[in-house]
Amino acid sequence: MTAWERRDGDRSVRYVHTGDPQPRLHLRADGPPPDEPVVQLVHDALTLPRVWTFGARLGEAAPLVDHGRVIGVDVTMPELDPACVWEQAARLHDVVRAAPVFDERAGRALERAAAASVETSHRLATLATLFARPGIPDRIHAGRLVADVVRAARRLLEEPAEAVPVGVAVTAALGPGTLASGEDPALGLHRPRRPPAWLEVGSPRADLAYLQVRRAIPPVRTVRELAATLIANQAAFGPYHSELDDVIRSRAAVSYLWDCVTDLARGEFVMLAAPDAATADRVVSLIHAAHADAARPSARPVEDARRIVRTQVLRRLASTNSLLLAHGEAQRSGLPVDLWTALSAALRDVTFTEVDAAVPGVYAEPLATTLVVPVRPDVQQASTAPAA
Amino acid sequence: MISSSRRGDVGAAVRVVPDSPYSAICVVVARGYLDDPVSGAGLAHLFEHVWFAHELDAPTVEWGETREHAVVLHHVCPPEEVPVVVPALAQRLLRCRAALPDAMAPRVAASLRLIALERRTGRERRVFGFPRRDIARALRGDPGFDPVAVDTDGLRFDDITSFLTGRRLAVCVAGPQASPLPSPEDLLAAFAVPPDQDGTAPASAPALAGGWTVATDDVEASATAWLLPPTVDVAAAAWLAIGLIERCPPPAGLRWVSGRVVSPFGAAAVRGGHLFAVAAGLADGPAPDLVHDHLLPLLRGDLAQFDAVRATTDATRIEAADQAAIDAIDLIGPATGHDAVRHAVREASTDTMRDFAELLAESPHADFRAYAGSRR
Repeated sequence: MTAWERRDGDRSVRYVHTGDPQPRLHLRADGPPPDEPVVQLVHDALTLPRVWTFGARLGEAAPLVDHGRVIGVDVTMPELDPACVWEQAARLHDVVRAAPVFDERAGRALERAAAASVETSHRLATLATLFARPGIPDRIHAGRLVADVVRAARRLLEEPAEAVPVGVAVTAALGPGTLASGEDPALGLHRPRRPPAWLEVGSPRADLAYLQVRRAIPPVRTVRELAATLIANQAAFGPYHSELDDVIRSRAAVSYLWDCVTDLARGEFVMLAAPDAATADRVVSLIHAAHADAARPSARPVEDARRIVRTQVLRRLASTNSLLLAHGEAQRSGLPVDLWTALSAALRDVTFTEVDAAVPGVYAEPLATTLVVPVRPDVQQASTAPAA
Repeated sequence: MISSSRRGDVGAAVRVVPDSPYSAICVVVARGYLDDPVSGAGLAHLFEHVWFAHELDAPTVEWGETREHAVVLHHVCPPEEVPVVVPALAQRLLRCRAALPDAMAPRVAASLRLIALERRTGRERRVFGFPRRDIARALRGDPGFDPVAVDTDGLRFDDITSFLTGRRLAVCVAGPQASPLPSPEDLLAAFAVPPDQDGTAPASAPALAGGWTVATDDVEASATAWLLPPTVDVAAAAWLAIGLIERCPPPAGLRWVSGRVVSPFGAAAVRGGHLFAVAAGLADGPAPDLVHDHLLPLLRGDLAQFDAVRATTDATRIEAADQAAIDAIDLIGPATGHDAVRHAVREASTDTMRDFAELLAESPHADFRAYAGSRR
């Protein structure tokens, strides 16, 4: 699984040897993180169709889906000349760089994309959190949020000076290659803007409550430090038999869902739960109590956590599609080309002492909670605009 | 490369998946939601949850599926951890079979609470997709059947501890060659179970037939499902038909068309046959007949895409987790065999697809229609 990368101000191309005989391209039009939700909406509604048209001319095109959101186009081709991919990226940039113009059709596309972006409680919570600004009410309504995001996107399109520069990223699967040896590359993880400590979103679509509890990934300088942090986080908060998982899914049995997603692009951990609305406060309390407890894991839970995190990373490298998605996440975040091979090795080799040393950093980051609660459709809608 | 062995009700297989970065251990019990007693619907799903509620001495990434005639329990881990995880799973199996009521009670109670929440997680997105649940209702012959729900009336703890009694069990490991893979005999020794009566295979049921209407708030869609003979050629043709459907743009009046088969790799016969289904989302205006206006003409046509579909299907790489499950389901049988189906795919021709079209045209089927509220 060798990989290398070439980039300039407008385009980035990452080449990955996957072992798959058929070449594939993942085409995306995106800027560097963090993605503002308004920019993301313009992308989904107006830029993505251009990427699709471009990709469909190259080969057999399919939507490129990541965590339920279409983020680009997956193109399978009969053959691929690596030298041409850089040129293809330039042509794709020509197609997407002109800022979309607002008109009636664009307005309808924005509304459709905004409606899709709150289709699930997970996407609604993400949109609300990323759109939140200091001073907004701590209780908002999904309908009002959508209207405000669409209005902000319209303003963005009507102000050419505020047009967002669009880059393109191509992740190319080239065929068999040799496994690169893992070293310990330096890392520059993004530090997320701090979300509101508490945000509640009313959703007429929801049946259960839905919780996202965010914590920044503590500052890490190398892949090995990241590996130690991931294992420390898993032992305390991760899915599959961490301390908190055992409480929430077994002893209290208050949420069918318990997960802790590592978002390397935004530089944060996001804990997820879906309790009944009546027990949501209890789940929040359990999470905060575990965080305040700051328990140091012993050797056995660390080994169990190591097994879980290693498995999760190895599974991301198992299929061509998930491997390219993993590389795409690293690519747009400016993370090294050998991140995944180095991380696999570091997760195997990092010592208990290193994991133990990472634990205080995991607990030092403050929690930010977004709670989606079911509401009747006729409930009053508060604006997401900051108070004057 | 696969090696397998069987002792009584327990089958075991080990397959090398050369390029897999991880290993998978799949445990399958030959008893699914269609085998639940009439007065005990949901028992198989409850067993799935109770399995995961029991401790595992070496925790893994794990998840389960309650299928038509099997509970499929997936566990994946780094390759060199297989020797640690296999005995831990064997120990968990022992706990499932022999737990005392005071150890079982909290696990069953927690599982029932999680299942109640699981039923509600799917409600917020009421978009009509592929009608698996509606097909399950048709197979069960019960319009109100919910494969996720558990009927707790009269539920006893020994319904769970005796869940495996008289049922076949299979455990399969799939992983890279470099990993310390056990032999099938090692697995049989680890997962030895007391001798029961002979393992039972699911009984056949009448063909899938009739018309089923599904109320939905959002989208209008239609689907058709068949139970076809469980032969290697039919499995291969069904798999190839799905590829042809996906390559062919939907005709006017349909927003999307999708084909599925519950036993795409030759395993997991349902009610003694291969369950094959097609579904479509309907656009505004007059909708074509999904089968007679689209599917059958596609399979009887010039099949210009056939060679490309066969090549793509043949090149399909199956991940270790799926491979372990396919091999385990093959072992509990009756099954046609995954490797035989892959061979039949390579040997298939356009005549295979035309024969398949005639089989679909002649076979009983069930039709499903989901109407949007305003057009009902």
